Amino acid sequence: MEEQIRQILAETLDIDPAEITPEKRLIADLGLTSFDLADVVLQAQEEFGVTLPSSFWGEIVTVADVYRVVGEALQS
Amino acid sequence: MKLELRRDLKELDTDFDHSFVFDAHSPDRSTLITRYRGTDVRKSDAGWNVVAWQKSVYHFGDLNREVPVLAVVLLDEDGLVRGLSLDENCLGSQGKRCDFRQLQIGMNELLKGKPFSDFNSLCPNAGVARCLHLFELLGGAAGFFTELRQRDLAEGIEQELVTITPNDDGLVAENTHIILDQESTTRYDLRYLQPPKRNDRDLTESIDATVVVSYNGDTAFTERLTAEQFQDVYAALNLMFGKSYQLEKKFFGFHSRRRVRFTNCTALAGLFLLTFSHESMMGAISRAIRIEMILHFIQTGEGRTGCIGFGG
Repeated sequence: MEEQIRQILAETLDIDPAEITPEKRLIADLGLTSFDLADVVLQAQEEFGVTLPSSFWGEIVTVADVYRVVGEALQS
Repeated sequence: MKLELRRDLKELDTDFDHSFVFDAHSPDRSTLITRYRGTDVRKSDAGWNVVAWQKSVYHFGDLNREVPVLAVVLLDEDGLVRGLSLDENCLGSQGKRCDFRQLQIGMNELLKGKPFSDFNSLCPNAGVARCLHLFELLGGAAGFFTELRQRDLAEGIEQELVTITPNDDGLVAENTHIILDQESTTRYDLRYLQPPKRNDRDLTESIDATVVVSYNGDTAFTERLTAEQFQDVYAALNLMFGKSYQLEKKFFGFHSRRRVRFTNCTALAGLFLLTFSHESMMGAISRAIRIEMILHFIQTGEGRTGCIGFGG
């Protein structure tokens, strides 16, 4: 799951997946815009067949947060 | 109201006529916001000429504002940047603090000699560009240039026009996009179920509305926008426009996950926020202050580095 998310982020940003590490902040470090974040979330929802809770926006700051939120959605 | 889209710029002289960007106005002031953008790419003897433009026009009661930006990027045969210039008539939202000469110097330092297609990695965020408009403009131009090369085309143009008009029920927004010879129109019919609530800074902190999204005349999906705090309003809007963006990508044949930046979809959430707030803005000075608050969030919120106009 983490590898797939890393791939989505890398392709969206057009960067090497190796640059995407868990502690990196999506907006401040990787340069995602809010719209990019929405695009990544929609792709993740389609990839994993989940719907993320609307509260996720305030919870997702780092790459690790994306792993956690998607992981929780997969379990529930 | 429609601005005339330039469908074919081939009839222009070899000196690209920039006036159509700066002279385009919105005479019908019932349209609150107009946003006009595009990219023109042509092969030249020395390589490639890329012209990218963007203009937003706002009519908030007595407060009228126009924000035009136009960049010309010259590339060599291999797509490396030979130079970049910003039209002297460029205007930013922060007046003289938007120093386009400084921005031009900075962009040349960043890009000269580098592949234009690498813009995303060379300039990963608006803070590096020191200007959100320039970041959007050049990101879009680089993306379109890359797309043309991948399709093995020597030239091409893409243009887009967004208009946002309030009505008694909410608002209507129309987004017409022409890429090469293909045209799509996305329409958003928003109807408030409850009047939006705004906080003391006029940021919309609560919304309950339905939005019917039509794509080329057919209803594509209906979205229920509900949020109880400002951050969630912004998130809900971005998710809705993200869905529209997926439709556009498929229509225009952009099948990869790669970010396609030549689109107004990235800006629509901010433009809708301005529209939600405008009704409560009374008086030109009050409007100016409140618009600044929203722009400040769009530019510097969520950990973003501010642009040159906001001290970045």
